Amino acid sequence: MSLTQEEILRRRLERSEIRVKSLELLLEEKTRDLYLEQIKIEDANRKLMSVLQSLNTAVLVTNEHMEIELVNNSSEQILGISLVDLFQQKLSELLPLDELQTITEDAFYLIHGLEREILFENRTTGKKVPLLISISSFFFKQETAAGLVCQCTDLTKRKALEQSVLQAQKLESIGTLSAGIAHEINTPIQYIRDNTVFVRDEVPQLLQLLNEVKNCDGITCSLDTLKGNIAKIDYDFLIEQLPLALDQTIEGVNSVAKIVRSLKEFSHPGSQQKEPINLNSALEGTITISRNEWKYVADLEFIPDLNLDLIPCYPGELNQAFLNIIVNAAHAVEHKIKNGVFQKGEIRVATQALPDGALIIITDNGTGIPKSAQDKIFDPFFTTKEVGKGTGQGLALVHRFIIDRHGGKVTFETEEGIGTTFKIFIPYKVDLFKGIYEEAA
Amino acid sequence: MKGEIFNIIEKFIVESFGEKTFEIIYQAALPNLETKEPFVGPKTYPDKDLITLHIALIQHLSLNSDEILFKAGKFAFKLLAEKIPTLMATYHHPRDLLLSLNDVIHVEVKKIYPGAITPEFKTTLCESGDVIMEYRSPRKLYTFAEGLIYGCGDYFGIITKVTTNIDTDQLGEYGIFHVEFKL
Repeated sequence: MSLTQEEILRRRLERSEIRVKSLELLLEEKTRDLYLEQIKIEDANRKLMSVLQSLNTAVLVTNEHMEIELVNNSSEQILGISLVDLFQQKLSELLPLDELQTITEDAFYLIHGLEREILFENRTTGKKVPLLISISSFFFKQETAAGLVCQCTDLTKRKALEQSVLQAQKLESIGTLSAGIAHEINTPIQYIRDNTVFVRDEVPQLLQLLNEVKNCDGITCSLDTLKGNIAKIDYDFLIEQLPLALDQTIEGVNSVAKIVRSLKEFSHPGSQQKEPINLNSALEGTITISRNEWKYVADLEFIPDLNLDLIPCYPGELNQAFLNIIVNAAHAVEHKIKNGVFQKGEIRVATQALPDGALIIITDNGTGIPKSAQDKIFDPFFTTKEVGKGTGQGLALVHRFIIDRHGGKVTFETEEGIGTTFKIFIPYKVDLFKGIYEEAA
Repeated sequence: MKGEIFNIIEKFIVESFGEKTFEIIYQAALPNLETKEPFVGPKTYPDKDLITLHIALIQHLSLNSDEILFKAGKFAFKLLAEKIPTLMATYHHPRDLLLSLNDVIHVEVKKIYPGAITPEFKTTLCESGDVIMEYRSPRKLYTFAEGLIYGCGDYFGIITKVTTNIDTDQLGEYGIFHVEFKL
């Protein structure tokens, strides 16, 4: 092929011109694509922001220095701080969490799924609000964490609902125990009535005699007549029995008063905040109202440690937890009686003061917990009781009340056929609920 | 295959054999090319067109196919590097670049040329400092790849030696490059 230099250049120029046109078209196409993609990104961004703004939870996003860079509208309402003011804060200054005070920026990645419940003072209303704080680090482009995402959920409504559920559970327990409690009240009422009737029937004779003595002038009424009348009313018997009848009546009234007081304390809705209580008294009350559950199947011995200090807690929840374990103990013993192992079992409730809290030990010599059930007993709806007898909520609530709510511990030792011991530890100081504890203190 | 490679091949032929040779080869190949218009860098063209051009070149000059591909690869490296100057500035040794070929370089290439199909490289750094590169590509352009590796060494001014071991059972789609570096 013979090509002149001019021909070569002409062809190259032609091709270059075509290339330029092609590239121009390509550029236009890419510019259009870029514009459409930008619109999509902006739409996605607006959608994301709209979702963020519609959340009922406060969302705070920080940069790598823990300075708040992005917030949603709920933050202003929940925290009571204007969005402008929030932007000038550091998360560690806003939320009093130990983890945020101590962590260094290069260790942000360690914060993942951190959850704490705190009481936060709304800066506008001054009201203390229970908040669930959830914090996680997030990554963007680089390997080190780009910042933290913090969600603050207002638990006020949930707490109220939990309180209602707890109250319902308490009332359910009282309903279950009511027949027994009625019986417990009925027995002293019976002898109060009998003694009162006795006093009512016998006192008029004594009063009449007293009247005769008062009016005796020695002429119309002789000493012999009086002595005869005394002999008629069995004076010695009355003198001996009347004080006894009154003593028994007072004892009966005290007994009824104690049951009513225990019942009242048990069913009291309680505070949303911890309050310092005497655990020995709480246990005594619970033992009293559950008496009819255990008294026919077991002898219950209560050994309180009198050195126990007042302990900050939710009394209603602890009473419920103790009741559930005592009733379970009675059922375990009853089962063994039905199997003919013994006529009556034993339940022992003891408290022990420890340097950092209180230990409550509840032991029974009932059937024990089968091995297959041991790792499930704290699961909700799990029960080994016959249909209609257990709801499977008792020990699940114990677990929740002791561990989740009080930061305590609940353990058990059991041997099939020998019995079970539950150990509950309630700490004086709980980091998990630091704010709540300090509030109570 | 991206138009950019066709353009590099054109430059290679023009610089190595002259403008006239390229025109002759291009005109000879044109009836067999699927693409009738000039190649434009960002567009994608059939792989077959590259083979057609290659055949026309070796037939016209009576050259060895692998030798031409190797030389084209060695020539191509510098031009490809010019496309990603910011990224290239972060490398100071061919070893580092070769080790990041799959995870960094090819990712960047795909950003500039969406839809680009790059060969797959599995790289291993030996205790000696050598790099073992497992090459896998249905295009079987391993000699072009070998040329690129040498071109990479030239770019950094580091003498590089490549020992190839191509698996002919896999029709040249798989091969191993043992890359040594000398200061």
